[in-house]
Amino acid sequence: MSIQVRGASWWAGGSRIVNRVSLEVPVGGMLGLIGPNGSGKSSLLRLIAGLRAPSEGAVLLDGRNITGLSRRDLARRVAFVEQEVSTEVDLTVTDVVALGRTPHRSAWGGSRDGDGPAIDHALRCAGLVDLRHRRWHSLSGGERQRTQIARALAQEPSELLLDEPTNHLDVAHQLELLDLVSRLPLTSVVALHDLNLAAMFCDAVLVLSGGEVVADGSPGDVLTEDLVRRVYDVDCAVAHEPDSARPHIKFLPPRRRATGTPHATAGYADRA
Amino acid sequence: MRDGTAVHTRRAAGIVAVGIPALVLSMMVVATIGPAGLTVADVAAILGEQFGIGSADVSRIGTGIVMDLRLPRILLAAICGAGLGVCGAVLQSLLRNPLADPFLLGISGGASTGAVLVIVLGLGAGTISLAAGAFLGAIIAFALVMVLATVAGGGTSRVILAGVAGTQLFSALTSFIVITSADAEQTRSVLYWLLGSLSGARWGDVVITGLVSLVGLVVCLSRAGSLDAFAFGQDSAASLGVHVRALRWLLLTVTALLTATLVAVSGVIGFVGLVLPHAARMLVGPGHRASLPVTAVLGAVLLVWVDTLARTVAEPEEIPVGVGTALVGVPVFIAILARRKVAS
Repeated sequence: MSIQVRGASWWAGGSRIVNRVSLEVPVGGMLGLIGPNGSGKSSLLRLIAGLRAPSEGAVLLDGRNITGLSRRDLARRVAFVEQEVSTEVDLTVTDVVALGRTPHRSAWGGSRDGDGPAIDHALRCAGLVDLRHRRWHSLSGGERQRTQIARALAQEPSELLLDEPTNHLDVAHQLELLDLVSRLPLTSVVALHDLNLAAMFCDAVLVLSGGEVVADGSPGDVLTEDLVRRVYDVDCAVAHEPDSARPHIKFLPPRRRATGTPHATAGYADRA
Repeated sequence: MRDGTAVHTRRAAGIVAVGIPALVLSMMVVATIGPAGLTVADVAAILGEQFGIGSADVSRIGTGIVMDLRLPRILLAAICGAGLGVCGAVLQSLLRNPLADPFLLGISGGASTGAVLVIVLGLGAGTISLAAGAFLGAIIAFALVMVLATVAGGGTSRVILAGVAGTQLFSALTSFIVITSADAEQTRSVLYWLLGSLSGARWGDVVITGLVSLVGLVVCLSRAGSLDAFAFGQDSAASLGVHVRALRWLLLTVTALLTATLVAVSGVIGFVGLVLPHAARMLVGPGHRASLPVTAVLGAVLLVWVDTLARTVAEPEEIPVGVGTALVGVPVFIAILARRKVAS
C-alpha cells in the first residue's frame, strides 16, 4: 500500500473534524474523496500531507508512519495542492513551478542539476509551456490551478494530494486535468465535489460525512441512489453504461416537502 | 532553469559587483563634503596613511575630521542601510505582508521607551548608556510581542497584530514619560533620537553593528530558499519541506536582534526597511538569493547619501536622517506602487 490511514481523528476547536478514518490507496491508484461541504475532506488531506498531526491514529507511507519522516523527506515524496492559494509576490509561472524544487535544494536555495528537466517536464505535463513567462497575477483561475499542479509535479512526488482541483475550471479543463492526474504514474488522493467526475476517473471513492467514512469502494459499488440520498439529501437516478463499470449520476430537482429542512447541516464554507 | 531566475541571479551579481565599488566611491566622495575643504584624493591619502601606504599631505585636523568624525558615521550609515533593508525584506516575505518593516514587531516602541527611561528618568544612574537602554527596551518589547503572538495562536496575522499592539503600547508609555517628566531640552533630544540620527557614530558602534549585520545577513541568506517557499503561505511552505515554526522563530529573532542593535546606535530610521526591498525586487525579481544582497547594497548606498544630505542641507543645523529617508522614501514608494499597478 502506498498510502494508509489507520483510525485517524483530528480535533479542532473542541469538535472532531475527522473521525476515526481508515483508508488505503495502492501504488498508482487514484482515490476520490467525496462528501458534502464540511465533511472533513480538506482536513483529511492535510493529515495525509503531514500538515496537521492526527489527534489519534496514524498516516503511513509504504507502511511507515510519516511522523518518522522529516518535513523535507516528506515533501520529496508527497505533493499537496491546496484548494485556493494567493500571493503578494510577483512571480512568473516558471518561478512558481520552480518552488516545487525546494525540497530538493539546500536551504540556501541554490539550484541543482535536476531542476531544469523536472521543471520543464512539469510545465509540459500541465500544458503550461506557452504560459511559462506569464505572471501569476495575470493568470485565470484555471491557469493558476494548473500552475500549482505543475509545481506539485516538479517536486517529483510519488504521492499527489489534490484538494478540489476542478474548482474554477470549465468543463474542458476539468476533464483534461483529471485525465492528466489519472494517467500520471502516481498514487493520488483527490477531493472532488462532482460525483460524475469522481465516477469517471477514480479507481476508488471514499465518502465522508461529518468526518466519518460512510462508504468506500469502487465508484460502481459506492455511488448508488440510496447513498446520494443519505449523504447529500438529494434524489438522483444512477445509470450504468453497458460497456463500463463507471456509473453516471443524474440529479433530480428537490421535491417540495411539508416538513423538514433539506440539507440543513451543510454550510457553504468547506473550511474543515 | 535557463530563464527567469537565472537572468535575475546574473543581474543581481552584476548589481552587487557594480554596487560595492559604487558604495566605496560614494563613501569617499561624501567624506569630502562639509567644512574642511578636502578632496577625494586627500581622503584616499588619509586612508592610505592609516594602512601604512604612503603619507598624506593633509593637516592633522583634516585627518581627524575624516578618521574620527566622518568615516565612522559614513560606515555606520552604510551598515544601517544594509541591515534595515535586509530585515525589512525578510519580514515582508516571512509575514507575507508588503507593508512589513523592521520596526513592526514592537522594536521601535520598545527602543524609544528604553531610551526615554535613560534620558528622562536617568535609569541606571549613568551606568547604562542610551544605546544599551534602547537595545534592552527593544528586546523586551519584541519578547512581549512574541509571547502575545504565541498566546493568540501563533499564525502570521497574529504576529502582525501582536506587533501593532506592542508598538502602540510602548509608544504610549514613551509619550506618558515624556509628557509627565521631561523638560524642554530632554523632550527635544528624545524627539531627535526618535527620528534617527547617525551624528554620534563612533568606531565601536561601527564594529559592533558591522559584525551583527554581517552575521544577520549570512543567516538570512542561508535561508533564502526557504523564504522563497513562503510565497503562497505557511501551509504551502510546509508542504514544500520547510520547517515553518523553526524558520519563523529563527528569522524573527535574528531580524529583531539586528534591528535592536541598529536602533540602539542610530535611533529609528524609517522607510529604508520598507521601501528598499520593493526596489530590489523590482530590479532582480522576488528570489531571495538575488534580492537580499541587492537590498543590502542599495540600502547602504542610499543611507550614505541621505545622511550626507541630512548633515549638510541645513548647515549648521542637522536634520534627523529619518526625516531624510522619509522624504526620499515616500515618493520612491509611490512610484513603485504605481509601476506595480501598471505591470499587473
